[in-house]
Amino acid sequence: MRPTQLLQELLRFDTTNPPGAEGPCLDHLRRLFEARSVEARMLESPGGRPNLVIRVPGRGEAPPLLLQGHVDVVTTENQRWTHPPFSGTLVDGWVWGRGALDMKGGVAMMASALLRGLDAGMPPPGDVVLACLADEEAGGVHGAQFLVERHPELFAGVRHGIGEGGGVTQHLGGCPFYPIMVAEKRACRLRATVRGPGGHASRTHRGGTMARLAAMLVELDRRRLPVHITPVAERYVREVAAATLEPFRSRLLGLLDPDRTEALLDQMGADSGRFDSILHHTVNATVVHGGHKINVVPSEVVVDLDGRMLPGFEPAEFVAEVRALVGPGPVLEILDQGPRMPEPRLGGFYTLLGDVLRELEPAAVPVTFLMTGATDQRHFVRLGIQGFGYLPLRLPAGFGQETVHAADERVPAAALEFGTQALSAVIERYRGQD
Amino acid sequence: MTPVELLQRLLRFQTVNPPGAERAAIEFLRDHLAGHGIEVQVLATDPERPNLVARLAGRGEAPPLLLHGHADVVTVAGQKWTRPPFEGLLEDGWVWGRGALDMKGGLAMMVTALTRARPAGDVLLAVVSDEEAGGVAGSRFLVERHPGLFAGVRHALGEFGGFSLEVAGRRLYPVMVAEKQCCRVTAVLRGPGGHGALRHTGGAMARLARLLRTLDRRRLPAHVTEPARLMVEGMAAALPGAPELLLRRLLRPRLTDRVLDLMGSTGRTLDPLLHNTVNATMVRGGGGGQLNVVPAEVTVQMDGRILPGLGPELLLTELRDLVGPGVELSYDQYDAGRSEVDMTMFENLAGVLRESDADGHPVPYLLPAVTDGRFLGRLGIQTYGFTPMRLPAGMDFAATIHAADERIPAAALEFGADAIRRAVERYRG
Repeated sequence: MRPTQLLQELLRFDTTNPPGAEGPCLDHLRRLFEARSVEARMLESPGGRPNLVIRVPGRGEAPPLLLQGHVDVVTTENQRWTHPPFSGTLVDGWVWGRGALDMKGGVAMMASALLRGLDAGMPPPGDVVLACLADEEAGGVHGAQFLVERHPELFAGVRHGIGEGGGVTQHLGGCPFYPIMVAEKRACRLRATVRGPGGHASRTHRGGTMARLAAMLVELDRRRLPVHITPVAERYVREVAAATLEPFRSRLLGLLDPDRTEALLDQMGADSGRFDSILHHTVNATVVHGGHKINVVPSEVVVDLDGRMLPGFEPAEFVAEVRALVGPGPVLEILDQGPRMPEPRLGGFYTLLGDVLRELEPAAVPVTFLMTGATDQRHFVRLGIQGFGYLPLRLPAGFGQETVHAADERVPAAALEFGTQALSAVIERYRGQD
Repeated sequence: MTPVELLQRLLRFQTVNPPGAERAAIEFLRDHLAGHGIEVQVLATDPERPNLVARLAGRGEAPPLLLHGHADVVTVAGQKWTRPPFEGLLEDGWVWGRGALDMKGGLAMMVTALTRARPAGDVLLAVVSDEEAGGVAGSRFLVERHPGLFAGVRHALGEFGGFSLEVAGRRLYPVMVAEKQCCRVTAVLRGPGGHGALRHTGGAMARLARLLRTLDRRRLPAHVTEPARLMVEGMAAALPGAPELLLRRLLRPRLTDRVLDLMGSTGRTLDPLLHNTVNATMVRGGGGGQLNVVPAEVTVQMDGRILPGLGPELLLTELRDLVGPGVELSYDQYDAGRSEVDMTMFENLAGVLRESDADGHPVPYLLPAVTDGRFLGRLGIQTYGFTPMRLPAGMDFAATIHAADERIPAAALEFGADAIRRAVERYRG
């Protein structure tokens, strides 16, 4: 099975969430496994959203291993795409479409790795559970959370899981790094309400609601929240520094000195993005809504903020930092927050993941990584499953993950083949090593 | 029926727009006018929202003159009233209720004047629905579908003028002679979208911030239009001394903004009369349950107000110069009105006001908002704001309309009805 072709097929199902409508896409995957006499169960959430759980039987030589990925995608609304986002277009060795990276590409690699083993008549050492999930982009309530809460028996005995959030080439200082995600930031979403004097729009208004909105958005745009050096971020920075040359190495290590972090990030330019978000809580204004009548200046505008906390912090600490940034005016309330995550264990399985990458690409430098977003791993943690973000994609220099959630999302076909080979190797060599 | 009793009756019809539901109020006035032997017709595009046009025959010695007013009112939702807003309460010489000033009080004056007048030419009275929400069922419908009703009319008396206003110890009587025009301006701000978990700078939200900050801090260019000049000169003549000097400097565009800043709250009142303005009133970006997506597009809708005769293209050009590149601007919902001001009837009205109040100073007035006058302007009709009322010192007409505890002195209704009657009888075109 070629992962490129499978990805093209998966991209043609519009699974924009909301509403998701993941059924036909999951059916397509189900048929591939049922055609090879493998058990594939559709499990529908109380909200009517399907999830597909496939169990490929092993040889009984290892505990079961979980591969999990979601098939829903985020919106393409108001984005200008070069190729239609649901066409699965393959041009010059690249597959274009919404979900190519996040994460139908990953699902295609996982499924292809298993299908290859089945077609070659080579069962894995232990059972492999492939969970193809709905609703990750809207919190996973109808997907991973539903399965973990209502069907935990499907994952009995699983100690390790592989999902999204790592394994993708990061080129830095001429060196191809492969971050393996071992921890996630934790969501803390806020609502900011800006109030001011309203009134009739034929008059002149100064310093009103809209001016206060502007002041808040300016601060959110210009300033960072305070620096925090957490253990996982520190390990990542030190591992990257160890593989790079001066003067870049010193600059990287300087990031770990909170007095110098900001200045060094500002000097790093485009490379700063990957360090910025693991050294700070972040907050982005993502939804703004104010006013109901064209001739009335509103007395209230509501802004929703996507907040992400570093591991080990609590919402009250985060809100205090946001408050210091936006000043006393806006009313801040917490909309929701992600679950706490345990400290990561970096043992034999983590070593296996890095070894496989180095064997496929000798120059590869696997590094520990803190994921800036949240993935479905946080739900499986509740079953005691340690999750790793590991969907290996060998990407060319100059192309990162900027197109995730944005226009022109795409992936090289060769990267999909690389990832499929890596996952096949991990599956074959898994023995439950801790 | 006295104008006070008439107003009390009108206030008891709930005509909050939306939905308006002006039918009962219009039918009451129809019967009242018919009872005085005046010819009345009712025209409607929506049967619940009719319009009344009455014609009082004159002696054929003058062209027809139009009186027009609206029967709908704005909401009282979210307001704390100390008296009930829809009971027509008369207490200690005040009539309380939504519409007492805007503009059922004016209607009571016009209807009373019509039943008492002996005019030289025909006098038309149009009482319409839907002024407060765009005039679609009201004046706009009459002008577009029944323009023949207004054949030969060159001048009209309508709302927003003739009320007293204390300024620097003088009692001014602003008479609206022109109004700003409005349109809706839409600004689209774009930027790279992306995942909400990463730090983003300089995107659509940052552009929104810059746009709103610029709109808050800076003005569009100053313009001294003819009606603004007439108004400021009228005020200067009525307010000798230091105010006169400041006011005259306002009329030099290079000094306008600096003088406005010196004038404090008066400057804020005069500011929109000397500039095109925009106010951002609606902002939308992101959403649809996607709190984790940094939006690639944010839309701001602005209420644009254009000085008479300048037009929406100029507003857009000025706005572009102010906010710089990177903001996509467009406009719609532009209702063109009169661009020239016709002052031929002003002296008649000023004379009537001086007779009613020997210490009063009538001054031409440019209204920063719109009235139904803009629709009649399309037929070449010049409307003057003329519902005269002598208000106690300290009462601010503009601050009391649309607000809680709207009320009018009972004596002001007789004052206005009598002034309108005399203006109508003196009208010779």
